[in-house]
Amino acid sequence: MDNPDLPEQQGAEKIVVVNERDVWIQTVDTALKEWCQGDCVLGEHWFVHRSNPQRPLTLDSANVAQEEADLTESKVKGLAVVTQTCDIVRSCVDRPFIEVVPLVEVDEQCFYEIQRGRRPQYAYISGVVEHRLVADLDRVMTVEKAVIVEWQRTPGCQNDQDIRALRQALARKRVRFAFPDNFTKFANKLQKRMQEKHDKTESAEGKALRTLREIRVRAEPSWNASEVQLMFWFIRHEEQSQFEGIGWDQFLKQWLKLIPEAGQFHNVEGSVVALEDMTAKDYIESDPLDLDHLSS
Amino acid sequence: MSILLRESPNQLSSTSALGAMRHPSTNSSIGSRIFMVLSSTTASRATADQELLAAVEMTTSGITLPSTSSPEATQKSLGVLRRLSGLTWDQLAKLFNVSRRSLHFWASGQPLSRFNEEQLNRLLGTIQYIDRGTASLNRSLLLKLDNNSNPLFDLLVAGKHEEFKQIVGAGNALQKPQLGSLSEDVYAARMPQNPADLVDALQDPVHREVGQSRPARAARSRKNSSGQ
Repeated sequence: MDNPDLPEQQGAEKIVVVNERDVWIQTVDTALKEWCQGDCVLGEHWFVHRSNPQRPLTLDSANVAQEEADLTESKVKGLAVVTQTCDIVRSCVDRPFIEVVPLVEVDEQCFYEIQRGRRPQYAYISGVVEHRLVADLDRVMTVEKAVIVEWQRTPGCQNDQDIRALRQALARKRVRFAFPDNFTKFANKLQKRMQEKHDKTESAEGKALRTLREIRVRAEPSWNASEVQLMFWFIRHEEQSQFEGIGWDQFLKQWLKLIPEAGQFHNVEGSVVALEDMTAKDYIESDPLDLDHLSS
Repeated sequence: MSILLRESPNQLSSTSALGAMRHPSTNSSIGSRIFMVLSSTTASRATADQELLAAVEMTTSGITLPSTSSPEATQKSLGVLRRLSGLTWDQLAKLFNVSRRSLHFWASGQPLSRFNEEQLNRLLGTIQYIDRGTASLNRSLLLKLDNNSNPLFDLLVAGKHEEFKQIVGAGNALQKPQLGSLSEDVYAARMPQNPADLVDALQDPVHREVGQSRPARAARSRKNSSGQ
Protein backbone atom coordinates (compact mmCIF):
# COMPACT_ATOMS: atom_id res chain seq x y z
CA MET A 1 0.00 0.00 0.00
CA ASP A 2 1.09 3.55 -0.62
CA ASN A 3 2.18 5.53 2.38
CA PRO A 4 0.52 8.91 2.11
CA ASP A 5 3.16 10.48 4.38
CA LEU A 6 5.99 9.70 2.01
CA PRO A 7 6.89 11.80 -1.01
CA GLU A 8 5.38 10.58 -4.24
CA GLN A 9 6.71 7.31 -5.54
CA GLN A 10 9.53 7.25 -7.97
CA GLY A 11 8.30 7.67 -11.44
CA ALA A 12 5.76 10.34 -10.55
CA GLU A 13 8.40 12.85 -11.59
CA LYS A 14 7.22 15.70 -9.35
CA ILE A 15 10.10 18.09 -8.88
CA VAL A 16 9.98 20.61 -6.04
CA VAL A 17 12.30 23.49 -6.73
CA VAL A 18 13.34 25.14 -3.52
CA ASN A 19 14.52 28.68 -4.07
CA GLU A 20 17.14 29.74 -1.56
CA ARG A 21 15.64 33.22 -1.34
CA ASP A 22 12.22 31.75 -0.52
CA VAL A 23 13.78 29.83 2.34
CA TRP A 24 15.31 32.78 4.05
CA ILE A 25 12.29 34.95 3.39
CA GLN A 26 10.33 32.37 5.30
CA THR A 27 12.97 32.41 8.02
CA VAL A 28 12.70 36.19 8.30
CA ASP A 29 8.90 36.12 8.33
CA THR A 30 8.85 33.42 11.00
CA ALA A 31 11.34 35.26 13.19
CA LEU A 32 9.48 38.56 12.84
CA LYS A 33 6.23 36.97 14.03
CA GLU A 34 7.71 37.12 17.53
CA TRP A 35 8.32 40.85 17.38
CA CYS A 36 5.97 43.61 18.46
CA GLN A 37 6.04 47.37 18.45
CA GLY A 38 8.15 48.48 21.42
CA ASP A 39 10.39 45.40 21.47
CA CYS A 40 14.06 46.17 21.94
CA VAL A 41 17.50 44.83 21.26
CA LEU A 42 20.13 45.61 23.89
CA GLY A 43 23.89 45.74 23.68
CA GLU A 44 26.28 47.50 21.35
CA HIS A 45 24.47 48.79 18.30
CA TRP A 46 25.20 51.46 15.76
CA PHE A 47 22.67 54.05 14.74
CA VAL A 48 23.11 55.67 11.33
CA HIS A 49 22.12 59.12 10.25
CA ARG A 50 23.09 61.34 7.34
CA SER A 51 25.10 64.41 8.21
CA ASN A 52 26.83 67.28 6.46
CA PRO A 53 30.58 67.13 7.04
CA GLN A 54 30.83 70.87 6.31
CA ARG A 55 28.28 71.67 9.00
CA PRO A 56 28.19 68.93 11.60
CA LEU A 57 25.47 69.62 14.15
CA THR A 58 26.11 66.90 16.68
CA LEU A 59 29.15 65.69 18.53
CA ASP A 60 28.93 62.38 16.71
CA SER A 61 28.84 63.93 13.24
CA ALA A 62 31.61 66.37 14.21
CA ASN A 63 33.79 63.42 15.15
CA VAL A 64 33.58 61.99 11.65
CA ALA A 65 33.37 65.26 9.72
CA GLN A 66 37.09 65.45 9.04
CA GLU A 67 36.87 62.21 7.12
CA GLU A 68 34.37 63.90 4.79
CA ALA A 69 31.81 61.26 5.79
CA ASP A 70 28.21 62.20 5.26
CA LEU A 71 26.89 59.11 7.04
CA THR A 72 27.51 59.02 10.76
CA GLU A 73 27.20 55.91 12.87
CA SER A 74 26.70 56.52 16.58
CA LYS A 75 27.12 53.87 19.19
CA VAL A 76 23.92 53.30 21.21
CA LYS A 77 22.94 51.02 24.06
CA GLY A 78 20.11 49.43 22.18
CA LEU A 79 17.29 49.99 19.74
CA ALA A 80 13.53 49.89 20.04
CA VAL A 81 11.17 48.98 17.23
CA VAL A 82 8.53 51.62 16.57
CA THR A 83 6.90 50.10 13.48
CA GLN A 84 3.35 48.98 14.22
CA THR A 85 3.01 45.30 15.01
CA CYS A 86 0.66 44.66 12.09
CA ASP A 87 3.38 45.84 9.69
CA ILE A 88 6.11 43.96 11.53
CA VAL A 89 4.38 40.63 11.04
CA ARG A 90 3.46 41.20 7.41
CA SER A 91 5.70 39.31 5.01
CA CYS A 92 9.04 40.94 4.36
CA VAL A 93 8.31 40.56 0.66
CA ASP A 94 5.62 43.25 0.92
CA ARG A 95 6.97 45.12 3.93
CA PRO A 96 10.76 44.75 4.01
CA PHE A 97 11.48 47.62 6.42
CA ILE A 98 11.31 48.23 10.14
CA GLU A 99 11.78 51.55 11.89
CA VAL A 100 13.86 51.64 15.03
CA VAL A 101 14.84 54.39 17.45
CA PRO A 102 17.86 54.46 19.73
CA LEU A 103 17.62 53.58 23.41
CA VAL A 104 19.33 56.21 25.50
CA GLU A 105 20.22 56.47 29.16
CA VAL A 106 18.75 59.17 31.39
CA ASP A 107 19.09 60.02 35.07
CA GLU A 108 16.51 58.95 37.62
CA GLN A 109 14.62 62.24 37.78
CA CYS A 110 14.32 62.46 34.00
CA PHE A 111 13.35 58.81 33.86
CA TYR A 112 10.45 59.52 36.20
CA GLU A 113 9.39 62.52 34.12
CA ILE A 114 9.45 60.43 30.95
CA GLN A 115 7.40 57.74 32.61
CA ARG A 116 4.80 60.38 33.44
CA GLY A 117 4.80 61.63 29.86
CA ARG A 118 6.30 65.02 30.61
CA ARG A 119 9.05 64.72 28.03
CA PRO A 120 7.52 64.12 24.60
CA GLN A 121 10.91 63.57 22.97
CA TYR A 122 11.18 60.24 24.78
CA ALA A 123 9.03 57.17 25.25
CA TYR A 124 8.99 54.97 28.31
CA ILE A 125 9.55 51.30 27.51
CA SER A 126 8.74 49.14 30.50
CA GLY A 127 10.82 46.17 29.28
CA VAL A 128 14.10 48.08 29.63
CA VAL A 129 13.34 49.86 32.89
CA GLU A 130 16.08 48.08 34.79
CA HIS A 131 18.69 49.59 32.48
CA ARG A 132 17.13 53.03 32.89
CA LEU A 133 16.87 53.29 29.11
CA VAL A 134 14.20 55.15 27.20
CA ALA A 135 13.43 55.47 23.49
CA ASP A 136 14.66 58.67 21.86
CA LEU A 137 11.87 59.52 19.42
CA ASP A 138 13.81 62.34 17.77
CA ARG A 139 15.79 59.90 15.65
CA VAL A 140 14.50 57.05 13.52
CA MET A 141 16.52 54.54 11.47
CA THR A 142 15.16 52.19 8.85
CA VAL A 143 16.52 48.65 8.74
CA GLU A 144 15.58 45.70 6.62
CA LYS A 145 13.75 42.97 8.45
CA ALA A 146 16.52 40.45 7.76
CA VAL A 147 18.75 42.47 10.10
CA ILE A 148 16.37 41.94 12.98
CA VAL A 149 16.53 38.17 12.62
CA GLU A 150 20.03 38.38 14.08
CA TRP A 151 18.90 40.35 17.12
CA GLN A 152 18.06 39.01 20.56
CA ARG A 153 14.56 40.25 21.28
CA THR A 154 13.83 41.95 24.60
CA PRO A 155 10.06 42.36 25.04
CA GLY A 156 9.26 46.07 25.38
CA CYS A 157 5.64 46.34 26.44
CA GLN A 158 4.42 44.08 29.19
CA ASN A 159 0.68 44.65 28.93
CA ASP A 160 -2.08 46.54 27.09
CA GLN A 161 -1.49 49.61 29.19
CA ASP A 162 2.18 49.74 28.13
CA ILE A 163 1.20 49.27 24.51
CA ARG A 164 -1.28 52.14 24.70
CA ALA A 165 1.19 54.38 26.48
CA LEU A 166 3.79 53.81 23.78
CA ARG A 167 1.25 54.37 21.04
CA GLN A 168 0.19 57.59 22.75
CA ALA A 169 3.80 58.78 23.01
CA LEU A 170 4.38 58.09 19.31
CA ALA A 171 1.15 59.82 18.34
CA ARG A 172 1.95 62.79 20.53
CA LYS A 173 5.31 63.13 18.82
CA ARG A 174 4.15 62.61 15.26
CA VAL A 175 0.43 63.21 14.91
CA ARG A 176 0.12 66.68 16.39
CA PHE A 177 -2.24 68.99 14.61
CA ALA A 178 -0.37 72.04 13.33
CA PHE A 179 -2.40 74.98 14.58
CA PRO A 180 -1.82 78.26 12.74
CA ASP A 181 0.69 80.59 14.37
CA ASN A 182 -2.01 83.20 14.97
CA PHE A 183 -3.98 80.73 17.01
CA THR A 184 -0.93 79.76 19.01
CA LYS A 185 -0.54 83.38 20.05
CA PHE A 186 -4.27 83.71 20.58
CA ALA A 187 -4.47 80.76 23.00
CA ASN A 188 -1.29 81.64 24.84
CA LYS A 189 -3.01 83.25 27.84
CA LEU A 190 -5.10 80.15 28.41
CA GLN A 191 -2.00 78.01 28.46
CA LYS A 192 -0.18 80.40 30.74
CA ARG A 193 -3.09 80.21 33.17
CA MET A 194 -2.66 76.45 33.23
CA GLN A 195 1.03 76.77 33.91
CA GLU A 196 0.55 78.85 37.04
CA LYS A 197 0.64 75.77 39.23
CA HIS A 198 3.98 76.47 40.72
CA ASP A 199 3.30 80.15 41.26
CA LYS A 200 1.93 81.40 44.52
CA THR A 201 -0.59 83.29 42.42
CA GLU A 202 -2.28 80.12 41.23
CA SER A 203 -5.84 81.01 40.39
CA ALA A 204 -8.87 78.82 40.96
CA GLU A 205 -9.68 78.83 37.26
CA GLY A 206 -6.11 77.78 36.46
CA LYS A 207 -6.44 74.92 38.90
CA ALA A 208 -9.80 73.95 37.41
CA LEU A 209 -8.31 73.99 33.90
CA ARG A 210 -5.66 71.54 35.00
CA THR A 211 -8.20 69.03 36.24
CA LEU A 212 -9.99 68.77 32.90
CA ARG A 213 -9.91 65.56 30.91
CA GLU A 214 -9.16 67.24 27.62
CA ILE A 215 -9.48 70.55 25.82
CA ARG A 216 -10.53 70.56 22.18
CA VAL A 217 -11.17 73.38 19.76
CA ARG A 218 -13.29 73.57 16.63
CA ALA A 219 -12.68 76.12 13.89
CA GLU A 220 -15.56 77.05 11.62
CA PRO A 221 -15.51 77.09 8.64
CA SER A 222 -11.81 76.20 8.65
CA TRP A 223 -8.53 77.26 10.19
CA ASN A 224 -7.54 78.97 6.97
CA ALA A 225 -10.61 81.18 6.67
CA SER A 226 -10.29 84.93 6.98
CA GLU A 227 -12.92 84.89 9.73
CA VAL A 228 -12.89 81.90 12.03
CA GLN A 229 -15.52 81.03 14.59
CA LEU A 230 -14.02 79.10 17.48
CA MET A 231 -15.66 76.67 19.85
CA PHE A 232 -13.65 75.45 22.82
CA TRP A 233 -14.72 72.16 24.35
CA PHE A 234 -13.52 71.98 27.93
CA ILE A 235 -14.14 68.30 28.62
CA ARG A 236 -14.45 67.51 32.30
CA HIS A 237 -14.41 64.15 34.01
CA GLU A 238 -17.88 62.64 34.16
CA GLU A 239 -18.02 62.41 37.93
CA GLN A 240 -16.84 65.98 38.42
CA SER A 241 -20.06 67.93 37.97
CA GLN A 242 -18.54 70.86 39.88
CA PHE A 243 -15.03 71.84 40.85
CA GLU A 244 -14.41 72.52 44.54
CA GLY A 245 -18.08 73.35 44.99
CA ILE A 246 -18.14 75.90 42.18
CA GLY A 247 -20.17 75.41 39.01
CA TRP A 248 -18.18 75.02 35.81
CA ASP A 249 -20.10 77.88 34.25
CA GLN A 250 -18.30 80.22 36.63
CA PHE A 251 -14.92 78.99 35.42
CA LEU A 252 -16.06 79.13 31.82
CA LYS A 253 -16.68 82.85 32.18
CA GLN A 254 -13.12 83.37 33.37
CA TRP A 255 -11.60 81.15 30.70
CA LEU A 256 -13.46 82.91 27.91
CA LYS A 257 -12.02 86.19 29.13
CA LEU A 258 -8.58 84.78 28.35
CA ILE A 259 -9.54 84.17 24.75
CA PRO A 260 -11.38 87.28 23.61
CA GLU A 261 -12.16 87.83 19.94
CA ALA A 262 -9.04 88.95 18.14
CA GLY A 263 -7.75 89.09 14.58
CA GLN A 264 -9.40 86.47 12.45
CA PHE A 265 -11.00 84.75 15.44
CA HIS A 266 -14.59 85.84 15.93
CA ASN A 267 -17.45 84.48 18.00
CA VAL A 268 -15.25 82.63 20.43
CA GLU A 269 -17.48 80.27 22.40
CA GLY A 270 -16.86 77.54 24.92
CA SER A 271 -18.67 74.91 26.90
CA VAL A 272 -17.70 72.67 29.80
CA VAL A 273 -19.09 69.23 29.13
CA ALA A 274 -18.63 65.59 29.97
CA LEU A 275 -17.83 63.28 27.06
CA GLU A 276 -21.36 61.94 27.08
CA ASP A 277 -22.66 65.45 26.41
CA MET A 278 -20.71 65.65 23.18
CA THR A 279 -21.76 64.02 19.97
CA ALA A 280 -19.32 62.04 17.85
CA LYS A 281 -19.64 64.90 15.35
CA ASP A 282 -18.57 67.45 17.97
CA TYR A 283 -15.59 65.31 18.81
CA ILE A 284 -14.28 64.61 15.34
CA GLU A 285 -14.83 68.15 14.14
CA SER A 286 -12.54 69.46 16.85
CA ASP A 287 -8.80 69.14 17.45
CA PRO A 288 -7.10 68.54 20.78
CA LEU A 289 -5.43 71.71 21.95
CA ASP A 290 -1.69 71.24 21.52
CA LEU A 291 -0.77 72.19 25.04
CA ASP A 292 2.71 70.72 24.58
CA HIS A 293 3.76 73.37 22.15
CA LEU A 294 1.40 76.29 22.36
CA SER A 295 3.99 78.58 23.82
CA SER A 296 6.97 77.40 21.80
CA MET B 1 -37.51 100.34 25.48
CA SER B 2 -34.11 101.50 24.41
CA ILE B 3 -32.46 99.05 26.80
CA LEU B 4 -34.53 96.25 25.37
CA LEU B 5 -33.62 97.10 21.85
CA ARG B 6 -29.96 97.31 22.70
CA GLU B 7 -29.80 94.09 24.68
CA SER B 8 -30.27 90.67 23.26
CA PRO B 9 -33.30 88.65 24.36
CA ASN B 10 -30.94 86.34 26.12
CA GLN B 11 -29.67 89.05 28.36
CA LEU B 12 -33.22 89.90 29.21
CA SER B 13 -34.58 86.50 29.99
CA SER B 14 -31.59 84.78 31.46
CA THR B 15 -28.77 86.54 33.16
CA SER B 16 -26.03 84.64 34.85
CA ALA B 17 -27.29 85.91 38.18
CA LEU B 18 -30.84 84.90 37.31
CA GLY B 19 -32.15 88.39 37.40
CA ALA B 20 -30.44 89.46 40.57
CA MET B 21 -28.12 91.69 38.57
CA ARG B 22 -30.89 92.92 36.29
CA HIS B 23 -31.04 96.56 35.38
CA PRO B 24 -33.02 98.52 37.98
CA SER B 25 -35.51 99.62 35.36
CA THR B 26 -36.62 96.03 34.73
CA ASN B 27 -40.20 96.76 35.67
CA SER B 28 -40.56 98.96 32.67
CA SER B 29 -39.75 96.04 30.43
CA ILE B 30 -43.25 94.57 30.41
CA GLY B 31 -44.67 97.57 28.66
CA SER B 32 -41.90 97.46 26.14
CA ARG B 33 -42.41 93.79 25.54
CA ILE B 34 -46.10 94.24 25.05
CA PHE B 35 -45.28 96.93 22.54
CA MET B 36 -43.00 94.50 20.80
CA VAL B 37 -45.73 91.88 20.67
CA LEU B 38 -48.12 94.31 19.10
CA SER B 39 -45.69 95.55 16.53
CA SER B 40 -44.07 92.25 15.65
CA THR B 41 -44.94 89.93 12.80
CA THR B 42 -46.95 86.78 13.31
CA ALA B 43 -43.88 84.65 13.01
CA SER B 44 -42.17 86.31 15.89
CA ARG B 45 -45.29 86.80 17.98
CA ALA B 46 -45.08 83.53 19.81
CA THR B 47 -41.43 84.17 20.59
CA ALA B 48 -42.34 87.48 22.01
CA ASP B 49 -45.14 85.79 23.97
CA GLN B 50 -42.56 83.56 25.52
CA GLU B 51 -40.51 86.58 26.40
CA LEU B 52 -43.60 88.11 27.92
CA LEU B 53 -44.23 85.01 29.99
CA ALA B 54 -40.65 85.06 31.11
CA ALA B 55 -40.94 88.69 32.01
CA VAL B 56 -44.14 88.13 34.00
CA GLU B 57 -42.59 85.22 35.79
CA MET B 58 -39.70 87.45 36.57
CA THR B 59 -41.45 90.61 37.60
CA THR B 60 -44.57 89.59 39.52
CA SER B 61 -42.43 88.53 42.42
CA GLY B 62 -39.60 90.90 41.66
CA ILE B 63 -37.12 88.12 40.99
CA THR B 64 -36.70 85.46 38.35
CA LEU B 65 -37.78 82.07 39.58
CA PRO B 66 -34.87 79.74 39.41
CA SER B 67 -35.02 76.30 37.92
CA THR B 68 -36.08 73.53 40.28
CA SER B 69 -33.81 70.99 38.59
CA SER B 70 -30.19 70.50 39.46
CA PRO B 71 -27.62 71.84 36.99
CA GLU B 72 -26.62 68.25 36.28
CA ALA B 73 -30.19 67.34 35.33
CA THR B 74 -30.33 70.38 33.05
CA GLN B 75 -27.04 69.44 31.43
CA LYS B 76 -28.31 65.92 30.83
CA SER B 77 -31.62 67.11 29.36
CA LEU B 78 -29.89 69.59 27.10
CA GLY B 79 -27.45 66.91 25.99
CA VAL B 80 -30.29 64.51 25.17
CA LEU B 81 -32.14 67.24 23.31
CA ARG B 82 -29.06 67.96 21.19
CA ARG B 83 -28.36 64.32 20.48
CA LEU B 84 -31.97 63.43 19.62
CA SER B 85 -32.80 66.51 17.58
CA GLY B 86 -29.54 66.72 15.66
CA LEU B 87 -29.98 70.49 15.71
CA THR B 88 -27.04 72.85 15.79
CA TRP B 89 -26.38 75.12 18.74
CA ASP B 90 -27.69 78.03 16.66
CA GLN B 91 -30.93 76.23 15.88
CA LEU B 92 -31.41 75.21 19.50
CA ALA B 93 -30.74 78.78 20.61
CA LYS B 94 -33.51 79.89 18.27
CA LEU B 95 -35.91 77.44 19.92
CA PHE B 96 -35.21 78.99 23.31
CA ASN B 97 -34.92 82.50 21.92
CA VAL B 98 -31.57 82.92 23.60
CA SER B 99 -28.03 83.31 22.34
CA ARG B 100 -25.82 80.37 21.53
CA ARG B 101 -23.54 81.46 24.34
CA SER B 102 -26.41 81.09 26.84
CA LEU B 103 -26.88 77.50 25.76
CA HIS B 104 -23.18 76.85 26.21
CA PHE B 105 -23.39 78.20 29.73
CA TRP B 106 -26.45 76.07 30.50
CA ALA B 107 -24.55 73.07 29.16
CA SER B 108 -21.72 74.05 31.50
CA GLY B 109 -23.97 74.02 34.55
CA GLN B 110 -25.44 77.51 34.74
CA PRO B 111 -28.93 77.27 36.27
CA LEU B 112 -31.87 78.05 34.01
CA SER B 113 -34.85 80.19 34.88
CA ARG B 114 -37.97 78.18 35.57
CA PHE B 115 -39.41 79.39 32.30
CA ASN B 116 -36.48 78.10 30.27
CA GLU B 117 -36.46 74.88 32.25
CA GLU B 118 -40.10 74.29 31.34
CA GLN B 119 -39.33 75.10 27.75
CA LEU B 120 -36.46 72.61 27.81
CA ASN B 121 -38.67 69.87 29.23
CA ARG B 122 -41.44 70.62 26.74
CA LEU B 123 -39.03 70.50 23.81
CA LEU B 124 -37.44 67.32 25.06
CA GLY B 125 -40.85 65.70 25.47
CA THR B 126 -41.83 66.70 21.95
CA ILE B 127 -38.62 65.44 20.35
CA GLN B 128 -38.85 62.18 22.28
CA TYR B 129 -42.44 61.81 21.02
CA ILE B 130 -41.48 62.18 17.36
CA ASP B 131 -38.14 60.35 17.68
CA ARG B 132 -37.45 58.32 14.53
CA GLY B 133 -34.37 56.67 15.96
CA THR B 134 -31.54 58.80 14.59
CA ALA B 135 -30.58 62.42 14.94
CA SER B 136 -30.37 62.90 11.19
CA LEU B 137 -33.94 61.62 10.62
CA ASN B 138 -35.29 63.76 13.43
CA ARG B 139 -33.43 66.79 12.14
CA SER B 140 -34.83 66.25 8.63
CA LEU B 141 -38.33 66.17 10.09
CA LEU B 142 -37.76 69.33 12.06
CA LEU B 143 -36.47 71.17 9.02
CA LYS B 144 -39.10 69.77 6.64
CA LEU B 145 -41.25 72.45 5.02
CA ASP B 146 -44.96 72.67 5.71
CA ASN B 147 -47.64 73.63 3.17
CA ASN B 148 -46.70 77.28 3.51
CA SER B 149 -43.04 76.51 2.85
CA ASN B 150 -42.06 77.18 6.44
CA PRO B 151 -39.95 74.64 8.30
CA LEU B 152 -41.93 72.64 10.88
CA PHE B 153 -39.23 73.74 13.27
CA ASP B 154 -40.95 77.17 13.31
CA LEU B 155 -43.95 75.63 15.07
CA LEU B 156 -41.70 74.76 17.98
CA VAL B 157 -40.18 78.22 17.92
CA ALA B 158 -43.74 79.50 18.22
CA GLY B 159 -44.42 77.12 21.07
CA LYS B 160 -47.05 75.15 19.08
CA HIS B 161 -45.93 71.76 20.30
CA GLU B 162 -49.25 69.96 19.95
CA GLU B 163 -49.69 71.13 16.38
CA PHE B 164 -46.17 70.00 15.58
CA LYS B 165 -46.76 66.58 17.14
CA GLN B 166 -50.01 66.15 15.20
CA ILE B 167 -48.35 66.93 11.89
CA VAL B 168 -45.24 64.83 12.44
CA GLY B 169 -46.81 61.97 14.36
CA ALA B 170 -45.36 59.66 16.95
CA GLY B 171 -41.98 58.13 16.31
CA ASN B 172 -41.21 54.48 16.11
CA ALA B 173 -37.63 54.50 17.28
CA LEU B 174 -36.23 51.13 18.09
CA GLN B 175 -34.73 50.75 21.51
CA LYS B 176 -30.97 51.15 21.23
CA PRO B 177 -28.86 48.43 22.82
CA GLN B 178 -27.95 49.37 26.35
CA LEU B 179 -24.20 49.28 26.80
CA GLY B 180 -22.59 48.45 30.10
CA SER B 181 -19.58 50.23 31.52
CA LEU B 182 -16.00 49.52 30.58
CA SER B 183 -13.75 48.26 33.34
CA GLU B 184 -11.84 50.92 35.23
CA ASP B 185 -8.54 49.77 33.71
CA VAL B 186 -9.81 49.95 30.17
CA TYR B 187 -11.41 53.32 30.81
CA ALA B 188 -8.19 54.66 32.28
CA ALA B 189 -6.15 53.27 29.38
CA ARG B 190 -8.34 55.20 26.96
CA MET B 191 -7.83 58.49 28.70
CA PRO B 192 -5.96 61.11 26.74
CA GLN B 193 -2.84 62.59 28.25
CA ASN B 194 -3.69 64.76 31.21
CA PRO B 195 -3.75 68.44 30.11
CA ALA B 196 -1.73 69.36 33.19
CA ASP B 197 1.07 67.04 32.08
CA LEU B 198 0.91 68.33 28.53
CA VAL B 199 1.18 71.92 29.53
CA ASP B 200 4.14 71.16 31.76
CA ALA B 201 5.96 69.30 28.99
CA LEU B 202 9.72 69.68 29.02
CA GLN B 203 11.34 69.82 25.62
CA ASP B 204 15.08 69.84 26.34
CA PRO B 205 17.17 66.75 25.49
CA VAL B 206 18.28 65.02 28.68
CA HIS B 207 19.94 61.78 27.66
CA ARG B 208 23.58 60.87 27.80
CA GLU B 209 25.11 59.89 24.46
CA VAL B 210 27.54 57.00 24.45
CA GLY B 211 29.94 59.37 22.73
CA GLN B 212 31.42 57.05 20.14
CA SER B 213 30.88 57.47 16.45
CA ARG B 214 32.43 56.39 13.19
CA PRO B 215 31.90 57.13 9.52
CA ALA B 216 29.41 54.72 8.05
CA ARG B 217 30.20 52.74 4.97
CA ALA B 218 27.73 53.43 2.23
CA ALA B 219 27.13 51.75 -1.04
CA ARG B 220 24.85 53.58 -3.39
CA SER B 221 22.15 51.75 -5.27
CA ARG B 222 20.96 53.46 -8.41
CA LYS B 223 18.19 50.97 -9.01
CA ASN B 224 14.80 51.45 -7.51
CA SER B 225 12.76 48.65 -6.00
CA SER B 226 11.38 47.63 -9.38
CA GLY B 227 14.89 47.08 -10.65
CA GLN B 228 15.02 50.10 -12.95
